[in-house]
Amino acid sequence: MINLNEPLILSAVLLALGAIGVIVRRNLIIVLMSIELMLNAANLAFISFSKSLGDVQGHVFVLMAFAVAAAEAAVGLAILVAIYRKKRSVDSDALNSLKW
Amino acid sequence: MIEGVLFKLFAAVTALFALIVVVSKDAYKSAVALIGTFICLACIYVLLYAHLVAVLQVIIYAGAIMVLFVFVIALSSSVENERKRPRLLGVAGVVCGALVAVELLKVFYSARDTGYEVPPQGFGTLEAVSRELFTNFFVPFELVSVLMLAAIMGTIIFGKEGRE
Repeated sequence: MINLNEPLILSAVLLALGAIGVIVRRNLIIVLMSIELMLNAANLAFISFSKSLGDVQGHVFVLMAFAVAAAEAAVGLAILVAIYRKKRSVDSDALNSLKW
Repeated sequence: MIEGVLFKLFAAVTALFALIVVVSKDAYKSAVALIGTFICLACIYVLLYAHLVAVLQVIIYAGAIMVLFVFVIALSSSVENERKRPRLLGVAGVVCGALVAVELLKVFYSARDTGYEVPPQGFGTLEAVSRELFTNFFVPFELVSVLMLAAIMGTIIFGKEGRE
């Protein structure tokens, strides 16, 4: 028997770790990975509430989130490759052309 | 009984892998740790009676998406030396993360378990999820294909960007 609270605590921890990764890391690939981590934290919350309510709609939302995550990863990584071709770097500090 | 123990075990391993993703200097190591996180999360989904989602988590996340990540890490030189960060930004990041966690925990603690110890028969199976997906969520399901088309076009256009 798993309490509702336990997976929710894990979900909060994963989301916080992902947020820290997005803010602190410079490598854009790792930033994208941290975003995936945050999406997974949301999925875990959906699944745990779904089980607690005995309603399968949360699972459908997770499937939609899968589709969005796949699209996001594909486009994000394509942008990253384009940036790497231009700047020869995937460092977020290399992207300073808008800085005056 | 065994469920609770297994859950705690998988939760600890998941959090550990997630920590490695965020702190690792090597992008490859981060990618492998992220695969570990996804697989442990799939195990947790099984414990929460989400069997279909667990299978798809392994196929889509740990399979398809991580292959993309590993390819891009291989294409871009990962010898990027992360220069020393200003200490302030690291502290600010950790404080922001901690605030997010505290707020979320506050909200989550107000959530009441409605007491489905074992969900209804057939919960989370392919049949149950598909029935929901193809009746109540049919229009969103079809709209996902439009999103996919947009993603494909975006990927092609950005793939051509900046090529000699």
